[in-house]
Amino acid sequence: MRSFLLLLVLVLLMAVQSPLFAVLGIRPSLLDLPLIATLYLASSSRALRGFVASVGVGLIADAFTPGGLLGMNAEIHGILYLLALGLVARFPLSRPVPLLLVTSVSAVLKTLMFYLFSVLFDRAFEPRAEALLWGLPTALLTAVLSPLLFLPFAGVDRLVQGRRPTESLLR
Amino acid sequence: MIDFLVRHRFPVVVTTLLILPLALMYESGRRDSASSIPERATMAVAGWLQGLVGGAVGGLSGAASDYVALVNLHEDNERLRQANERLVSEALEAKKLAVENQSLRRLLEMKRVRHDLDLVPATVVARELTPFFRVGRISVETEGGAPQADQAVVTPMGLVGRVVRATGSTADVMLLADTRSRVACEVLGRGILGLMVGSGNPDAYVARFQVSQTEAPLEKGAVIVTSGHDRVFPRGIEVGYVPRPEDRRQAGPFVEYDVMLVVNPAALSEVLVVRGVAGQSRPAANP
Repeated sequence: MRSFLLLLVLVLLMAVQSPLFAVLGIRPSLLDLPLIATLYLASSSRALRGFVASVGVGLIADAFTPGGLLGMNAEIHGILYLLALGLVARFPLSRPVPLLLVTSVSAVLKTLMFYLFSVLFDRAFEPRAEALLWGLPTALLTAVLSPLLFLPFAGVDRLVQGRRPTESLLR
Repeated sequence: MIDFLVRHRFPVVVTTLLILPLALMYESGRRDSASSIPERATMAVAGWLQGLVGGAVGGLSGAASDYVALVNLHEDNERLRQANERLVSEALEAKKLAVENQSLRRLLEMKRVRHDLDLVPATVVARELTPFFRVGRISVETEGGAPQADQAVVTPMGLVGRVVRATGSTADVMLLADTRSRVACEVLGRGILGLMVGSGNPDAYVARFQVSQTEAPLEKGAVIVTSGHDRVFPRGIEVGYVPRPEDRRQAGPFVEYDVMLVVNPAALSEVLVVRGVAGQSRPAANP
């Protein structure tokens, strides 16, 4: 139920992202909401449930990303979840600085994995080193705003279970 | 067996859920233009939701700007508040209608001028959500006008891109700036043939025009139009112009020019899908 609600919140946020950013004159691709959702799951869920939900997050990202290969984000987010799970023990994601660091590293890894999978599976993909740089603004902005972007997902937890996994973030 | 699966459920589930997307990716990458059932299903749901939310956000944005205008009016002149409220509201509505009218007139004008093209109007419902692709999502609202893969998408200004995936009335349109985009083009009035390749640059809407080394150098402002040789894009649709021919460079056996594209997709709300060209049969979509 909790995972379903978290995914529902992500769907709504992603559906709003494109038209809202267009109205504000901001490039919609500047925020990576699925990455935030995956990191939130890694910081607050049981391993197996969180992993399944993270693959779900990736599938949602695939559906909302026109032009990509179906399954690419699902694969990337599954792997990112496992990596984040390992990092959570050392870097508590309920604090802004570790969260910022982990988000930055995850965003860079996501870019590298996107590049690798595109080379392997997308026949039309033209491997160019500069493509790796296109993900940098998204990585930076997502990392900077990650403590704020955690809030909608933390709100679901408060609503459902009364849990406060990220309550120290804005104190 | 069941006991083994229960005991090792974490590695079993993880392995399964990591292999499944790989299979999906392989299948999705193998098909060039034909969409698989999972692709069509996810695209239909996401496209419908994006269209719905896009409409709601547009409506709320309009209401918010109306509200701001009315608050300012109230501060300026309390005595005439109600009269101004009505007038401003009417003026905004009229302006909105005028802009919409102008846009629709341009679309109609194009349909009249290019009567060789079978065009259907479409609304842009979403823009790219990844920094790596330049692909937008459109919704065709005309009855019987369902888009198909490899149909060209244009505006009265020029070429936008081509449909790469379609389901029902929703389609994903690869824009000209996408690195995977290839369009057969020619230089207007000079007949120099070449290939327009997307630059992928997220900060500027530009592409690269590749011509044979044996061709004479292009001049500043040379207009690039579609040549129709790829049988996807109809001939004579404006694509862009060469702003700085002196910046040309060698790219393998070609000379490459930067091209400023005429259509800025960030500002698009309505487009036209080319369903067919008079006297030209479409090549079959790749299986």
